[in-house]
Amino acid sequence: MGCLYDVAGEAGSGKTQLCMQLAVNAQKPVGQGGLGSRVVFVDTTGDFSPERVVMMAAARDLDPSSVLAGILYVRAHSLQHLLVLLEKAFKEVVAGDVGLLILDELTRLVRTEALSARERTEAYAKVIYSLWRVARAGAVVIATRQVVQSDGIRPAGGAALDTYACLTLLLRKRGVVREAEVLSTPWKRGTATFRIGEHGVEEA
Amino acid sequence: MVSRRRKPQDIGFLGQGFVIEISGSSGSGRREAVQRFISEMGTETLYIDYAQTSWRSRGKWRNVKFQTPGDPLELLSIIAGANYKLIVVDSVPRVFYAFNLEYRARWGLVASLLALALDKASRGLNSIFINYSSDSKSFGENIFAEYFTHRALVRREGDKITLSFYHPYKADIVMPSE
Repeated sequence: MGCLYDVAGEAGSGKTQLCMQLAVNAQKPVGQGGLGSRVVFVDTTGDFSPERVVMMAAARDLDPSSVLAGILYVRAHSLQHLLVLLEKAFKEVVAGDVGLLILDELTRLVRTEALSARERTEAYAKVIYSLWRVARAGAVVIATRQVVQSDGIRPAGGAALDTYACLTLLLRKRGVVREAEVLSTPWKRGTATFRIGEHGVEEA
Repeated sequence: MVSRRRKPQDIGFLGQGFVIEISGSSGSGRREAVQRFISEMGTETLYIDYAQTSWRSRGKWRNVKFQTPGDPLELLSIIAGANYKLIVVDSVPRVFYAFNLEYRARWGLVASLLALALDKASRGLNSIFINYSSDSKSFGENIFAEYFTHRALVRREGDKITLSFYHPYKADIVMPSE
């Protein structure tokens, strides 16, 4: 709790699926590995799928309609809109019944707006500040980001997002299996594999 | 320029009073390199942490005192008054983004920090600045490069981490595994 987690990966690597799975799992009771709380899902890409959430919930013996009702879904259409939504998410966390904020995906709105270097710096600074504010209010915050091709693949956002989170994971697609690699010290590039099946994210 | 391969115990070649930039991309092993560097030096270290390294270290880093100053003046005064043989600043981009400052003031803050470290280096105090680099260019390359007495890139090959110094001379230090 109170920390920010960064999940990077190319398109199709499973970022959104992982986020939806976490949105379902977080609603399980604390004794069963969940947070027992509602989830705010801020979507900048439009890839969120309620149908998938229903399938994931049913596969874990949760009531799909209450799981869907427990996800406060919002679509961010611009950078300014995103900042307003993060402010509202902060208020929801302070109100006490939201334990997880998911931002899928962080860099898109900054990269698609025609910003100067100065404006981009300010935009990233504001988004990071807002995410940390939500985390420090007591929620778990998960933000995804794209990758760029530069001497291998690396998380997008460059120096602006370098180690801004407690932990960075890099997802890769290896055939039908996905690999999650830890980029943060001290876990020395530890990896875990998972599969995305009909019922959601499963162990490979 | 002479290229040498050195052992970790050779970090003495850096002499007394340095400001080293250790840079690399995400996951290149910069903090592991710094941790091994600290343990090789064996001195009490002040670690200015804006990258959650304290959280990830889980209290296992020996001889290290973590601090995260809450505003720019506090940060500068802590560095100015520090009585440690080694100070680590983690990291240049995170300090740049840490505070609600005007754009030019962000550059000015990091430059002031580096100038302070350089002044202390002239009196025998050592500092390490962790930085981000991509395509062999560090964050703030054009503005900050002149402040560093030594610059190194981190390379990871499996469990092996190599510090490749490229300024003021070329030398590779293979850091010992934990």
